[in-house]
Amino acid sequence: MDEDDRARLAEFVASRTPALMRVAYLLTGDRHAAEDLFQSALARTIPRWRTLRNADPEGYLRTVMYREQVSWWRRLRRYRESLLTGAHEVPAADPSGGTDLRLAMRAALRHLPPAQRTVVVLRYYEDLTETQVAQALGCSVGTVRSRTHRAVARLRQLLPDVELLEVRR
Amino acid sequence: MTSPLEDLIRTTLTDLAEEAPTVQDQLQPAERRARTRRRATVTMGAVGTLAAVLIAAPLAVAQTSSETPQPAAPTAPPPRPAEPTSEATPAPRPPLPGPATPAAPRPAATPSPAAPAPGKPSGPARPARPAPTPPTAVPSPVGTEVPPGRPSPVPPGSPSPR
Repeated sequence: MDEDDRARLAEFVASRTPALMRVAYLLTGDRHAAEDLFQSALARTIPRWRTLRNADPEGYLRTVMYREQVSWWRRLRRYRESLLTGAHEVPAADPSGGTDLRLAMRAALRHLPPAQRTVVVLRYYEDLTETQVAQALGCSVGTVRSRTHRAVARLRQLLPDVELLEVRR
Repeated sequence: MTSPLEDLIRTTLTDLAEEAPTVQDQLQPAERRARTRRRATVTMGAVGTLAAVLIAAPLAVAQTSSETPQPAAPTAPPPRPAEPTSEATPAPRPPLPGPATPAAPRPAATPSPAAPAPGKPSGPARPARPAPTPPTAVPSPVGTEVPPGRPSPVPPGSPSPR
């Protein structure tokens, strides 16, 4: 990689890191895991930078992050790490209205499996369609639908006060 | 149309995204990781190739040695062409020159597309001619040597003088 390519890569990383780190943090739910995911995706993108610099490097990097998040190897490693870190803390009740529900939703999102969590992030944060999500993850549209349905059902199950939310509206 | 639950999911995800950590200079560790990854890929490829060679080489040697025949083992003789027997009719041959009767066919006289002798230029294709057989003796009365072509003094079957 020559100096020009390296300068463009450094500029790209410096300009797009905050947005990509937000997505990585939403995908993983943990600061260190998000940093690791972003670095891993960036390490996979750097060898292909010459072919990507004139195309869409951010799209490639995002796709690598999405697929890396749901990969089998990463899931295995994450399982070992989750045994060491106590990432399943239950939020305490908050007397302010709605805050406890959001905290409960955060905890419920953390309890989702990586595949379902990724689909939720892509559908409700990135606002991608089912077809776009399927293309990004390399799976079928039916798989995206089923994962989304299971994720929402799981969130309903984990949120005991979701019926109250329906009543409040 | 979005349900309240979906709105809650969006709101929560937006709040979470705002809490994302700010990191500095991710390029250096990513490059280091890419180099490590490349090195590991090359190493694993070399190890895999070496393992494949180590496994396949004895199998290939064993396969090759089992296909070649043993040097001392008797081999089956190659099939020979059936030799003509006395009862067998001789193969059609080109007409022989001279009045000699055709003798018993010899293997050497059998016309065959034999290869030309080494060192001789192979000429145009000509039908192989059988080697001339020696003239066979014509049966004649005992004791009387008559040159061929002359009438014998004593006709056969005539009463001899007593």
